[in-house]
Amino acid sequence: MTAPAIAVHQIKYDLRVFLRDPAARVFTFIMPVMLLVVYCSIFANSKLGTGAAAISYRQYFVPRIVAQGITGAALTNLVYIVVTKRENGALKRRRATPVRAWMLITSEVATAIMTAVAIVVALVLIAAFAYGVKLTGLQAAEVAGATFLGTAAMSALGFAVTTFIPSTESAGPGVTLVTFMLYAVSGVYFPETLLPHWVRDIAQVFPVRPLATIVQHAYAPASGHPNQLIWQFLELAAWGVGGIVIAASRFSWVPRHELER
Amino acid sequence: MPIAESNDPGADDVTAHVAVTTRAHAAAPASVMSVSPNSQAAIRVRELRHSYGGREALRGIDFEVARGEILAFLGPNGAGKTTTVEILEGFRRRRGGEVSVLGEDPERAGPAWRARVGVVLQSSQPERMLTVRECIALYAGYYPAPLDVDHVLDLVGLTEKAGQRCEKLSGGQQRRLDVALALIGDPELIFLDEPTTGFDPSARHMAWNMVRDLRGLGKTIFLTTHFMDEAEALADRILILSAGRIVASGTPETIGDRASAATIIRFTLPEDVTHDDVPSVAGTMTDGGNRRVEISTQDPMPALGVLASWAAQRGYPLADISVHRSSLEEIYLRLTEEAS
Repeated sequence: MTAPAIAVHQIKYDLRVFLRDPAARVFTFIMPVMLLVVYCSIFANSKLGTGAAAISYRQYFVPRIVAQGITGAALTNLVYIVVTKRENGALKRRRATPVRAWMLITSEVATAIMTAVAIVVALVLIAAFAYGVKLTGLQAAEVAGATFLGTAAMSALGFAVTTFIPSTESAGPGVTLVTFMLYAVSGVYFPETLLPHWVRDIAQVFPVRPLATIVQHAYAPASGHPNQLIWQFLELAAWGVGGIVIAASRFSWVPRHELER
Repeated sequence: MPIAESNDPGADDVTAHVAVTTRAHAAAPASVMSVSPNSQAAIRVRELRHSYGGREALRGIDFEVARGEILAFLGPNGAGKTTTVEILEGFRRRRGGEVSVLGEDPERAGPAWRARVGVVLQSSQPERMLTVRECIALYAGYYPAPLDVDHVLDLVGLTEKAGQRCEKLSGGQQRRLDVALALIGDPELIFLDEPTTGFDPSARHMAWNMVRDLRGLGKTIFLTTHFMDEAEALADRILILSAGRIVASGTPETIGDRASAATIIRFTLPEDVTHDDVPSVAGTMTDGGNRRVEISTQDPMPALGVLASWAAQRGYPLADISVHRSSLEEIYLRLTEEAS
């Protein structure tokens, strides 16, 4: 097989492994969909803000949940999968074959992108057809762009995060806890207008809020300044680049405990 | 310590290897053979050193493994076995010395070299969510000229488990899957790291037969093990590592001067018979107390003949007579204790 063919071969199997993992399915697919259904059902007609910038609660929550879906697929899930494979020796086992590192990394990222695209499409369609939160073609393109940038940045970050997680046991709960707190301060679970300014400022340092703001802009263009939007893109990209830098210097193919011998 | 002699059994097996694996690698060993006898070595290690922090793990070891040979690598925990194997497999950078595996330095070798080397790791649990067949097919895709998946399933005895998820396999079945993943690329050299640890006796014997089959295919096998009987049953040559040094090497029959070591004959005399009544034989007799006799001899057969006719003439049963040759285990314990 040629090199790209091997990468595609790997993607096929990684995707299959992902789809067979019940925990991955629940956290990546079911959770965001349930969240969307619950929030859109509770907040049927309420408005957030006043005047021209006012948006409906649904318009507020749908983009935030899309951002959570992207983060769950590309960050939480990738960290869990990669740490599990590293700790049970599957990564080391693969490195003992002619397969190259870039093929394995490409495959993990491609799996994350496909997963993220699937969940975003599901969320966007449910929001549009069940709850009337619609997108124009241009707005849909913006959501697609945000999905790709978000997935790329989050999966780069994911590889970096794996280097700080010592065991399989801590991969699931640890990352879930941290991302849950990020979602909370980034206003995924309640309107961020309720949050004090300093909490919003802290959230702005991390990548979830910038991603949510970009998707938000796609759904409600009047709610943010285009100028501000560029900064969100740059910040997200910076997180991605930072993730690559950290991963490149710290990433390990073998279990942690073997390194420290 | 030059170990691979020119009359090594491995030399013959190279021809067998060429004959068997005409598919993938026939050209490579044949051309290598014509270069020089020395290049027949599958593994060559010179003055290999490694340390962790300030602790010396390998203190300059030398050895060679001939092509087609099964080498058993023995040593107590902490002797440096895993370190050595990981350096040979290209997973660990050495601190000093020279290493050549299939003609290349594992630290710098690329995917083409990886395709010629099969590795069975001590513990790995590949792809829980895939079936056995899928898992092997996944790995087959990494290699330029893989074996047929069904053939490999058959070789490791997992044909009936082909459709089962890897996570549902027993410990022994998982080890066999590991072996299948090491074989699928049709490697020339296979590293087996403690392949039967945790096996029940029948599973161990099945595994041994599998290793013998691999030898039949002309593979070179580097076997790490804790079990003396395993080394004795499988290995052409044994290497004993202790405290970072090689303390002995040789065939299972000759290692640690085993062939020339004394044989011990033990028996208990009937009542009323004293040690003075025992006929003199070549060797030294000691009084074991309680009428027990222990004869240590270099030449057990004549001694046994003399004892047998003496006992038969007098009608002594000597029911508990035993003839004991140093076991590999005793030699191993002696050598590794001396070293540490």
